[in-house]
Formats: sequence, structure tokens, C-alpha cells
Amino acid sequence: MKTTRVPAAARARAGFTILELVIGLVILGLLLANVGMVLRSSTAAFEAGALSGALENQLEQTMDRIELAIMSSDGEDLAPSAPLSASIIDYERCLGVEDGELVLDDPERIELVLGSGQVVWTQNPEAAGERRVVWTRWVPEYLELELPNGADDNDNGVIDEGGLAFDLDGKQVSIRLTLEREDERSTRYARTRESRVTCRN
Amino acid sequence: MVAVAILTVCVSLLSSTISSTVAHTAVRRERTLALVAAKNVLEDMHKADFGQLFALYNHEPADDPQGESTAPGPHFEVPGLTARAGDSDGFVGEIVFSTPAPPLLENAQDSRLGLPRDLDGDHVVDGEDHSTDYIVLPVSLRLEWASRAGDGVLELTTMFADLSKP
Repeated sequence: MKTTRVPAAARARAGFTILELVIGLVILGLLLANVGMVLRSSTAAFEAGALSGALENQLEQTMDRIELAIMSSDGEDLAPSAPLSASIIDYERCLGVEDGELVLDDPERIELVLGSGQVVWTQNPEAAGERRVVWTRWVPEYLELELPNGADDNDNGVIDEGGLAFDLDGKQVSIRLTLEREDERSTRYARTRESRVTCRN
Repeated sequence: MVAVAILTVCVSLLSSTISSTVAHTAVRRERTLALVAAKNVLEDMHKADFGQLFALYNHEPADDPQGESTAPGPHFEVPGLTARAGDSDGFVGEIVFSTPAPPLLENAQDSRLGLPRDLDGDHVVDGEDHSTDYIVLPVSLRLEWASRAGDGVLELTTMFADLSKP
């Protein structure tokens, strides 16, 4: 039998076989696909985090504004009490005391404007010199997990409350606010905050 | 081989960055929950009668204004947060006065609450019980919870006062 011997120098110069190249390319392809998937999911996670963070910041800022406004107001006849709630509150801030009497500022209103989903602060509502400022957008019609069915779906003691809801317990007002946004993939992000504020006056 | 190793290192760095970012977001969220709960408890205390604050929120159930064990007491839960595994009371939050139960002392040594200090407005720091005649009441809210990044702690200290003219 005749055998062919390949010299050592020729073996050293030899390239990859087709099979080796194919295996290498497949492994490289798999690796690149994995890297691509990791990058895509990390980008999605980053975008979701950024959107959630922006939503939480907006929620915190809006709640702080509402709390400060109500905290300094006169605590009588502000809103109906639980299980009823209101998406509007009228109040007057206390500026101080003069001759033993409270001195109150111009009337103000905080309300949820349905349709536009805006929380609007109004000074001198429905009167001369009315001034309106939008404090936030992205407020849904109903609070997170609440449905318009006459039941307390989110188990918070209030029925069918709006995306912005006030209810009164003595001199204390419970404030509930949900902000909701969709990203480019139509994924919904909702954040809800509930806080209680006691009127100081 | 070298390229694969570099790629592996890069991917692991990327994934660790993502996971730490997610953990940071969770920790920030926990802290926000704790802060909101603490503010709500302070607002509940504002709603209560000032003269009964100590009786309502101390560790002694016998002095509760509406009858024994009817007051909220010093402990409170925080929705969304879990108490630490070894927590003695099983609650996330606790309201801390200079003394946990009567007598309320103004000569207690607690620099965190600004004590010793005059609590009843007689310009004297004595060793008497001031649980019924205080006009200022230092209070601290301490929240401890099991967090994704170790143990979470939040402490708020403030002072309630009733300085209105008789």
C-alpha cells in the first residue's frame, strides 16, 4: 500500500478546513446573536427604567405640591369623605393671623381634568384674575387597579376613585394619584402614590 | 480564543452593570416607600390631640386615652417593605420618644432627640414625669427593613410643639 507523507513545513502552512471554518463561524454567530440579545434587552431595561424613573420623579414632585398646598389650608369642607372621593378640591391657604382671625389667601383649586389627563392648579377659579398651571400630565381616568364598577377593586377603602382622588377624614385629607405612560412598545407603566396630609389650620 | 475571552469579559461587565442598576432602582424605590410611610405617620400624629401624643404612641398600653390597648402604639407597618428577619417586634417602623413609656423625662440623655431639654416650658430641666404637661415633644421615626442591598434604614427626627397662647 502506498502512503503519502506530508512534510512538516507543509503541515505548518496548511489553512483551516471547510468544516473548521463552518464550526468557527457558527460559534461566532451564536456569540454575536447572544451579545445582540443582551444589548437589546439591556436597552429595553434602560428605557423602562428611565421611563419609570421619570414617572416617579413627576409623581413625587406633584404630590409634594399638592401636599404643601393642602397642608397650609383651612381644613373645613374640603371634599367628601370615604367611601366617596373627589378629583377636585377647593381650598384657601392661610397667610397668618391678624387680630385673632385667620387671614386667608385667594381661593385655589386642584383638579383632574378628564380627557387631557392633567392635574391643574387654579387660582381664583371661575373668577376675575383666574390663573391656571398644569402640574402634571399622564393621569388616567381611574386610579391604578380601579374599575368603574361600583366596587373597591384596589382594596383601599374608596370606590371608583379617579386617577387623582381626595377624601377627607376630619382635618386630614388622603391624596391618591396615579401616573401612567406607554413606551414605544406599548408597554404601560403606572406609578401610584397615596399620602395623608393634616391641615394645619 | 483571545477574542472570545475579551467578548466574555465585556458581556459579563455589561450584565453586571445592568443588574447593579436594577438593584439600585429597587433600593431607591424601597427608600421612597419608607419615606412616604414615615411622612404619613407624622401626618397622623399631627391629626391627633397634641396632649395625647405621648400616650397614643408610646410602648405603654395602659395609658391609652380611650382605654387599654386602644391606641396605635409605637410600631407601624409599611406596605411594600418587609421587616428584617431578626426584628424583635416584626414591624418595619417604630416611633421613638426620649423614654419608651411613662415617665417622660426631660433629663434623659439622648442627643439624637436634643435631650436633655426643657419639655414643659418652665425653664428647668428636672427629673419629673412630663407625660401630661409637655409643650414640646421630640420624636424620631426609625424604619428598618430587609432590602435587596442589605438592610435598609431610615430615621426622621422632628419635634411637635404646642406653643399657642392660653
